[in-house]
Amino acid sequence: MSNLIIAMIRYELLITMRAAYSWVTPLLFFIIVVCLFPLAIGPDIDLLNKIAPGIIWVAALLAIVISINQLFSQDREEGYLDELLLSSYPLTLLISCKLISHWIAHGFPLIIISPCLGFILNLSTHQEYALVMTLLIGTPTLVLLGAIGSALTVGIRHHGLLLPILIMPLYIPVLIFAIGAMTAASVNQPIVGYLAILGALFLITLAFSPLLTSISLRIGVNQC
Amino acid sequence: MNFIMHNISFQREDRWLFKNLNSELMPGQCLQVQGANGSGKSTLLRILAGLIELQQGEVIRQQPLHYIGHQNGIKLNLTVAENLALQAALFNSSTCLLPVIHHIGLSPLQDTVAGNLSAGQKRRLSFAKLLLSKKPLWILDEPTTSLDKSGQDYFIHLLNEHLANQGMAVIATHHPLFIDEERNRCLTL
Amino acid sequence: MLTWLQKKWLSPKNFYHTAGVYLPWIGSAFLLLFIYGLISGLFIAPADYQQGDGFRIIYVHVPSAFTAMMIYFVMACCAFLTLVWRIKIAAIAMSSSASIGAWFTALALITGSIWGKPMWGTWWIWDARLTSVLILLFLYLGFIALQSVISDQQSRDRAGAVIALVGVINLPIIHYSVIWWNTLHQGPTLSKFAVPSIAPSMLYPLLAMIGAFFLFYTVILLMRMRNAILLREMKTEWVTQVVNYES
Repeated sequence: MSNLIIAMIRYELLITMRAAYSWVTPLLFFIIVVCLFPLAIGPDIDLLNKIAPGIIWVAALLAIVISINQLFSQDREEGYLDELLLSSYPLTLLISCKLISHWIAHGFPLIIISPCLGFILNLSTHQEYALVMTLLIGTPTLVLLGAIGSALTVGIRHHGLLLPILIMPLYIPVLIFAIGAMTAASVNQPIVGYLAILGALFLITLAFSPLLTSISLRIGVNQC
Repeated sequence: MNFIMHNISFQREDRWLFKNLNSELMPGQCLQVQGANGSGKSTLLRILAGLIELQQGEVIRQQPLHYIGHQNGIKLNLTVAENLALQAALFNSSTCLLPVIHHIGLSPLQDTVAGNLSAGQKRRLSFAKLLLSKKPLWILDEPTTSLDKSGQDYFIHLLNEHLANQGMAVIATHHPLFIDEERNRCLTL
Repeated sequence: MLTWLQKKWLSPKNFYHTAGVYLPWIGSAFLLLFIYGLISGLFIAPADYQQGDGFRIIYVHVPSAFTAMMIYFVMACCAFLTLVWRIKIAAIAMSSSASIGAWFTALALITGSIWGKPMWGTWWIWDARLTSVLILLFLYLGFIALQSVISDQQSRDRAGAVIALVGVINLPIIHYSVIWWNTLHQGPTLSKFAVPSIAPSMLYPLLAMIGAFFLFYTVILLMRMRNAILLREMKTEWVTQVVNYES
């Protein structure tokens, strides 16, 4: 079984690397959205500093929602989804491998680039640290929740923005506690409590998401 | 260990695609499903494979199966060799890959990305999993589409070998496949 | 017990007829409670010492908010029944409840706004409860959107069931995180919605209105479900008989 896990993650990442636009474009989207705000609000550096956590986190959330759209759609077009469903391995395991590689390809670049964006919005070191930590713990939760929506809409052609509409209300708790952590960091308060809550949200989502995603995939494929 | 379908009926949006289909396959037999375009062959095969839920009737299927649909089930961004390696991992197969690539006739192309193959070559690649992991039941949806004459002969050869080894197959086709009469069953939608 | 359930309620045909029998009774009960609640709430209950007559909108706002939340839980229970036991009636109940729930949520938001203007001087305020109700509205609308896009009936039921369950699992988490968020950014102190000790003369009409709203939901739900059953079972003989008889 470990052979399978390594093989699946490795080949999913290989596919993403070969189709570089699939992970670069959400990253660029993230950067552009963050850069739009100073243009929209004005260069007042103190004001930007105050709202920077919100800007960066909402932009990251949107980038993840956009990237999660493509989680199963390519597989469905290639007929590869049928392979996963008919495999003798449990579907939850296969889905988990896909989600791990999806997070590495799409969540990780966001985390790497976020300190630079924090820098242009004048975040303090403590806030930068909080930003990276909250993204690190929060983005897996976003990917897990998004997977359910992606699986539900896999059978629907031209579903447009249905996936973001379904998923974004569920992202609100993660958003609230991440921003809470960053607000605490801005006044040099400890953020461990917030990170713990984010961790708890991640664990709860980890518990039910692969199962619900596999149920949703079977429903989605049933529509042929 | 027969494969039995009993009174299969399926309705899509108030239209019955087919009603009360019955068939039984013994090891070594092949069921050819024929019908015009839109008659529901693909839907029937997907029901038999378990990808679409049964509405009415019953399918007694105790064997592991391979399903190849209209799409080939291959990742277009991976090379031929990588596709086989991924499938081998999915089927927990320890078969050597190079002989399989040679068998399906894609040895010179083993490092070509699958998206750059022709339609017939992609079809051949989809047959690779039939060789990687020997499963008793094959459910194939128009396997000879886009294959040239040598490709079609190759497929018939694979099929005959499979049936000779007590395998079973359910195949949707437009034109009947020429296999031994005693192994052949027909179902027309 | 199970056979009684099956006979009266579980099959679409039996449900149609049983619901038709009970509908006038539930409707009458609703009317009675509603009239009592309205009259005693609007005219008989004394004016609040702090808010004056403006507080009377509580008799529409609080029942709609309660009903909106309750409908979502009903939908979630039906979703569970649909996914696990494939009970068709549960799926029909879930789909029919969605737009009723959305309307009640919108009503709660609008009446909340109307109440807010004289109380806090603003049409909208980001307090915990209103924000939670707003998110609940998004959950309802997402459910309706998902169901409207899927063409296959069985997949539509099951996909809706999944999203309803996901929503109900997340709803407490969302609610408490919004409450926490609100205490973090405590703005001007709000006047309390649920006064800790409410006078009986104000309480009974409120309870009556809550009951009336629940019954109203039940009436509308049963009517919508009967319609949905007729549509779904359109090709069967009993439906043709019913339609011929009623036309």
